[in-house]
Amino acid sequence: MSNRRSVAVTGIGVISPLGVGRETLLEALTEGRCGIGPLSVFDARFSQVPFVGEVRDLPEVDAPGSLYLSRTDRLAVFAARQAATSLANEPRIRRECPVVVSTTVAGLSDIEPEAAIEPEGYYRRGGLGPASTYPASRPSDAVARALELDGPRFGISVACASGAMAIAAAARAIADGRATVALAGGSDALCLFTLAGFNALQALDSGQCRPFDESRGGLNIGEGAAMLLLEELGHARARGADVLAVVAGWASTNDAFHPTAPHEEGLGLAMSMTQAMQRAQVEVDAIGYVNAHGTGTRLNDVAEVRAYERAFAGRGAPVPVSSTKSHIGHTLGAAGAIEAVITLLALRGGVLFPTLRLENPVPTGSVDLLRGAVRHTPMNVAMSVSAGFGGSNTSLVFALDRERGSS
Amino acid sequence: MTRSDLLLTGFSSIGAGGASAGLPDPGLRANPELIARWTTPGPRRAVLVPAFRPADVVPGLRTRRLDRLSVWALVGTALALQDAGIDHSTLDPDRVAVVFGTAFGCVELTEQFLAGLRQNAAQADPILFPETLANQPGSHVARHFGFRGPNLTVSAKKASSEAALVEAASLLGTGEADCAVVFAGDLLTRSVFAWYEAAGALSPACGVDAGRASDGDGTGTVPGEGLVACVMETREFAERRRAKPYGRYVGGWIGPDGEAARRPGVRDVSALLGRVAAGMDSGDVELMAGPSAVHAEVAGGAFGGCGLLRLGLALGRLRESDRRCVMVASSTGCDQFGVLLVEKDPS
Repeated sequence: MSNRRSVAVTGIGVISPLGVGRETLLEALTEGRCGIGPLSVFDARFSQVPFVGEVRDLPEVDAPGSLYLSRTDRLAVFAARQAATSLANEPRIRRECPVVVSTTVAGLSDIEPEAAIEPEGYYRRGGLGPASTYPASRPSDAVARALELDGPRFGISVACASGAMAIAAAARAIADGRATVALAGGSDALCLFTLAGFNALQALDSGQCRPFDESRGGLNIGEGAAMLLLEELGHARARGADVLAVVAGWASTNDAFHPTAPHEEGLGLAMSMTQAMQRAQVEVDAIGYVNAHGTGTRLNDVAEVRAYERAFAGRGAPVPVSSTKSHIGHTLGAAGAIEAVITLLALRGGVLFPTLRLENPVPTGSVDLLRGAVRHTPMNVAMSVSAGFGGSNTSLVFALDRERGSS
Repeated sequence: MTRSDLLLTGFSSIGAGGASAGLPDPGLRANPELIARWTTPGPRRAVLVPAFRPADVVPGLRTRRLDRLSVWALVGTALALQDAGIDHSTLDPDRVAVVFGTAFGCVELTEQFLAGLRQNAAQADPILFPETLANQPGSHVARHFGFRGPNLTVSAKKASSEAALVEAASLLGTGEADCAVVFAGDLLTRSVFAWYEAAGALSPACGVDAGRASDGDGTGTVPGEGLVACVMETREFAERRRAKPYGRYVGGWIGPDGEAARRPGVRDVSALLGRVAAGMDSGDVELMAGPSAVHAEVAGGAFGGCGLLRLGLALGRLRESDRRCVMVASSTGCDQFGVLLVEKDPS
């Protein structure tokens, strides 16, 4: 759409297994640190302690009113406060600001199995508060109430593409004029529910994951949250906001193929990348870096490489791709949002983060699977790619602000 | 704000009266029935969807081991497409969006999986786990009908319908799809019902001693379950296939303030109109709010599906109204309200 409004990123908040804040994250990624280790926040009672990406020492978060906050809610509120610092003295914007927060588990991190077995007793014994955090809309409610944001708010839950889709939904609201400023991102906490589920699917690596490696053995579940403050570009410039980048394109597709497996040729994922580039009006050669979905499972990584080969066909040089899930694990509903933040860090710093532990890459002629040392290459456009169970795919294209130069 | 010309062309609902294509019957009233599906601390009542064989409604449909919400999504979509006169195999699959609104998602299988964790978390059921995800109803619809366009699951408590419609309209308005299947709903389980009871939010009609005001009529909630589906198309797409629309979707909104929707007056109508159709004369608009909306909820499609049910009632009302538009505005009883505005199709 030629007359659509441009969407700027004017705030970033992130908390991950690599620490708190974008500067800490950038430093850790640049140094090649890994936040994956044995689970310690609870006992999964598996025969072997699973390796996870854990947020250690989650800072205290004040609950708004009497609201019970789950671990997922607290992660979301913490990241949101960082992202929205520029709204502290903007009551007019806060009155209208929508909040879109994605999650897959929401409050399941805090809800005991008793809630399903004998709920009446569980609620009597104090379970009413934790159980109220079950709906996928809850993190958005918690963020809106904690930050006193009075616009529309809702949750998005499309498995592991959720975080990227929340950002796309908020960007679309700004682009079509329903909002001027919006807060969007994702949050998920470690919980037994998802660990048991992925363990049952035999999708967990028993050690640290090795995305895109021929010897890969599965994924590591992680936790965290990231939020972006999005804003109509003209509005951001007029109020002197820090324009960090522009959300230039986005697209979502569905494989319509299988409940858990991706399409073998990555058709849906490739289509989302192509459509996102078309929307951003950029050619395949313009993309300087792709932050991959790259889970480390047998099926995903091959299908994903096929998708890159298809989407970037005709490109002059192999497209640089890495999976930062090798640093923080798979944060599920937060993954797309955290990886959007990492993509923004790469774009702004001209840094190509490698995939850790990648020794024997999946064979490909046209994808540069980044490994080894960090590379420094200035770029103007970068992409973040997410996929999930149920065939969900979302791609986001970020660009530096071409007219002014991102601050 | 960009304005898109979007038409509503198909409708279906699954509620206490079973599964049916077309607009909901405005005279439909369902009495809460005695709950027998799970153990209750005494006689308890709710509005429940009777069991039915999905393959009787959609021949060949296989639904084994799916959450009931996924089953209803498949049936509801098939009926709404049928009502719209659409043969799904004739559509460009890349241009069809699927948008699902739900408060609780696949809560029945989630509870089953959660309960199993107490016994042995290391031996969980690998088939069950993926079916607990909230986006599975939408992805089952994508897979069954081959729809490869945007596929989104949104959650905004009892404003989930409104959120889904707003997102679908945006996807069509920004050119990301030509046609969208929108459905919304929730199912009722022991844990959900018990939560309402423990929170003191139930109506005396549920068999409890006293209720606390929580819904628009101030007598407490009568929990229900169900799913409502509709087909939304761009005018260009609908006209190309000579569709007969129920009406034109003008706009929708969800917001955190329930007061304006609960006690709407003339000034409120103008304020609400400002949200969904700035510049429109409030004299052109008939407002449906208050008890009619609450009764609609009792008829089925409760929780996340309420807004779509109200939309169906509004589309039916359009035919009789001497006004150009009908607006439904409802408090959700959950610190949010939803507004939907539909218009007679001028063509």
